[in-house]
Amino acid sequence: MNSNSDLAFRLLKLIPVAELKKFVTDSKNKNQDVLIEEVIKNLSFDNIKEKVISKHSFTKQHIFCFKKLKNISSKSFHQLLPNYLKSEGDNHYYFFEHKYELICIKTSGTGITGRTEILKLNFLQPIRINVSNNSLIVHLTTLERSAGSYLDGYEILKQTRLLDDEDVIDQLLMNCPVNLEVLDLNKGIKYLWDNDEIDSPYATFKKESSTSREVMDEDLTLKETYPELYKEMIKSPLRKIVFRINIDLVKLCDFTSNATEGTLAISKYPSNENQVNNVVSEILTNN
Amino acid sequence: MWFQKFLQIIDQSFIGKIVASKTDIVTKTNPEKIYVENIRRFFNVPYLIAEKMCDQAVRFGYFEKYFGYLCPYDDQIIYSTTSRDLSPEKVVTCQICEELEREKFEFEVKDLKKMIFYRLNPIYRETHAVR
Repeated sequence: MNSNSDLAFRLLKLIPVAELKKFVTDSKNKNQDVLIEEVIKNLSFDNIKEKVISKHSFTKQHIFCFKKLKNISSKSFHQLLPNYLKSEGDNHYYFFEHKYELICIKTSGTGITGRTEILKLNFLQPIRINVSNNSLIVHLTTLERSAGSYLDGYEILKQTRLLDDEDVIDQLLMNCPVNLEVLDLNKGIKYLWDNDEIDSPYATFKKESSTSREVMDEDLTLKETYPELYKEMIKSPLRKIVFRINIDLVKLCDFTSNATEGTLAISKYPSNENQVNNVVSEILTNN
Repeated sequence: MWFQKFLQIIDQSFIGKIVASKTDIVTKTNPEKIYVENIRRFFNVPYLIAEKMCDQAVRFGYFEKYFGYLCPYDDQIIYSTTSRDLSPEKVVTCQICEELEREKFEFEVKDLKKMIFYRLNPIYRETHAVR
């Protein structure tokens, strides 16, 4: 259940199929699971981890942005998080081990007892930390929503993930030798919005004495439909907002943000490897 | 001169206030989305009467009738159609739920609440009122 093959399978599931196909010589008419089995057959576990890291920019991600007031020595990166893999320029890579606890009942195959069992599944989460002069950006690959989909022949009654992304960040903050402050992204995001590079179908923002939410029907977006409301809203701290790219669909990808908390999320696979970095860079440059 | 004074008096009276509030409702109603409640409030009639008025407007070709299916989490319309006979097993995706990483973002039409709205037939649209 938690052999290297199983861990490799779950890791490779995080990569979009189009990129997975590049790991095999003949990918014609093969679905995701078949492709993954082939990769596992042909590559060692360490090779697979390298391959997954090389495709990190194509994964769905949760991104946490911090202000860094002092430099961090290169040795310190080895200790920021467990399972440090390597550093390449400004990027430092890790695999964080997560445990999921599942309460389930066996429904097919041998050994059906009708009793509930507690099974533990391990997952490796690829993480990239990008460091610049004054910021530290943590990119966590989003893990599978439903770990139970990896278990054949079981009915899952309850699933618990023992550590979530916020716990990973807490660990990083504890291990970091310098103080990190949450980077407020309001200015950068509002710049893109003012310039019509992005617009939103779902926006939460703080008013003086309440929190407001606008959820647009169908394909409508807030600034285009309600320009007067936008003018008022843009003066307030932005909370959770879903953004769609208006202008450059090749350079940038859709993202969700909580500007006041310094977080971004990429919930769909980017169509090229530069999109996620471009989104972060556009926001920080104008922040 | 006296006529202007007369109009001023009317304008400042309860008649003027009624006309002003009607104008306000009309300018703020989006012709792409007219709800029965917009009509009910404008004419100050019971809901059933307003509904019948809208259906009459459809019969005469002034309005088009739409069925909007609502997201179970946020209540916005995620899919709309003029078809009354949609297959209950048809699956619609809520892009916002998907982008917010909710566990469920695909729903069968039979599990979604429905909201009726009307659109002014494009032939009759002269001004586009937005909020």
